[in-house]
Amino acid sequence: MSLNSRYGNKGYIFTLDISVAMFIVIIVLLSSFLLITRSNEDSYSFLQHVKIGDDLFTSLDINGKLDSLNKATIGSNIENILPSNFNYTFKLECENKISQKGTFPQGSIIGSERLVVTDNLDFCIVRYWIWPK
Amino acid sequence: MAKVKAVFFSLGFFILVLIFFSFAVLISDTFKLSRDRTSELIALEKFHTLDESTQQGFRDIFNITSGIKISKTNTITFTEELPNSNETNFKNNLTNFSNFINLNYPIKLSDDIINNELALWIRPHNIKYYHESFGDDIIKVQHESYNFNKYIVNIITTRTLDSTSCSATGNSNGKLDVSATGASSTSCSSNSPQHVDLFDDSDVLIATVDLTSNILTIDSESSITVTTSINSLDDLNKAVDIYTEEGTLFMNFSDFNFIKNTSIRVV
Repeated sequence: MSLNSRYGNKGYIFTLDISVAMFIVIIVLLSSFLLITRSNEDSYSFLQHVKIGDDLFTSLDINGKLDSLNKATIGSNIENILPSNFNYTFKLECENKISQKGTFPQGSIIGSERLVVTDNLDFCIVRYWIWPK
Repeated sequence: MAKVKAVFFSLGFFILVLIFFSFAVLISDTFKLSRDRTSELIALEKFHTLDESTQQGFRDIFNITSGIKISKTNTITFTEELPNSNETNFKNNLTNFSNFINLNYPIKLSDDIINNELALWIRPHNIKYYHESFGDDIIKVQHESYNFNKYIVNIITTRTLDSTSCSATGNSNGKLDVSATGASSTSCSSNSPQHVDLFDDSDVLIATVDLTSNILTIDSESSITVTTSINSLDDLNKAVDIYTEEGTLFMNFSDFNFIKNTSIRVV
């Protein structure tokens, strides 16, 4: 009691000041964590999509399903394998021919790519993107 | 006393905030590290795909144009014409493929695989099937030890054979069997020779097969089809695969500190 009378309510204000400051610090930190976590999840999901695309096009290449160089045929072969909740697009660049199905996601980096040698000995590069609908 | 309490109070909160910040820095670093690792994994996945697809491309060209058929069980069989008439086509396609990938990526096929003996290694048994110069009329097979049962060589010719066509000398102690099939189902064979001269029914030399030391040599004097079997490979507790010479495929993504110098799996 004697302390209160001597120093007034400064202790409460001081405590309140620190509490507000800490609240702000915690809010800032939590927001940062949320943003970092979200960006990290994006990287993991991108890696997963790259892997799905690689497996898909490896399977198509080994089984000769890219040899036709026809975008409709290749698209049909992709849709036979790719789960329906994914979108895709690809671009097949050969020495004398370019086939493209779909439009590429704006501003995105290349999903992945592989070399393709067809049974007619055309040398091509197929670039592809896979993302969830 | 109250001043001392206030100092401890402030100090307590200061330490609490420091602990918060320490955790924040720790978690932030962990996330950053995790993101870097993920980026590296994505880059590695891309390099792996390029590596694997380059090897697949080589296999496609090899299977379509080399004229060498390979079958793989616990016996490895190579079938090839001698001399190999596919040489020019194979080398041209491989050169074009090498130029194509080199134009688009820092990946290169060794000139040796294109120009020289086209050596094929059976791993892990370390048996080398090769040519003196690919396209010529000599095949050789070199082993480090007998980690297989024996060689079986079958020659197909369009000439007519008779019962004395397989002229055998020496003894390979059961490590070589030679047989030949000619026109009109004529044939001859020899079990466990060290050296066989194959003649037609007019005694014109068609080919020689020789097993000296650790090298099997098949030398043709006219056009033949040779099937060379390395019979019953020992089980070395590893998958048996056939590779090109070491250093055939060179990848240099130096920006990502990723450099690889490797052989190509053919089968």
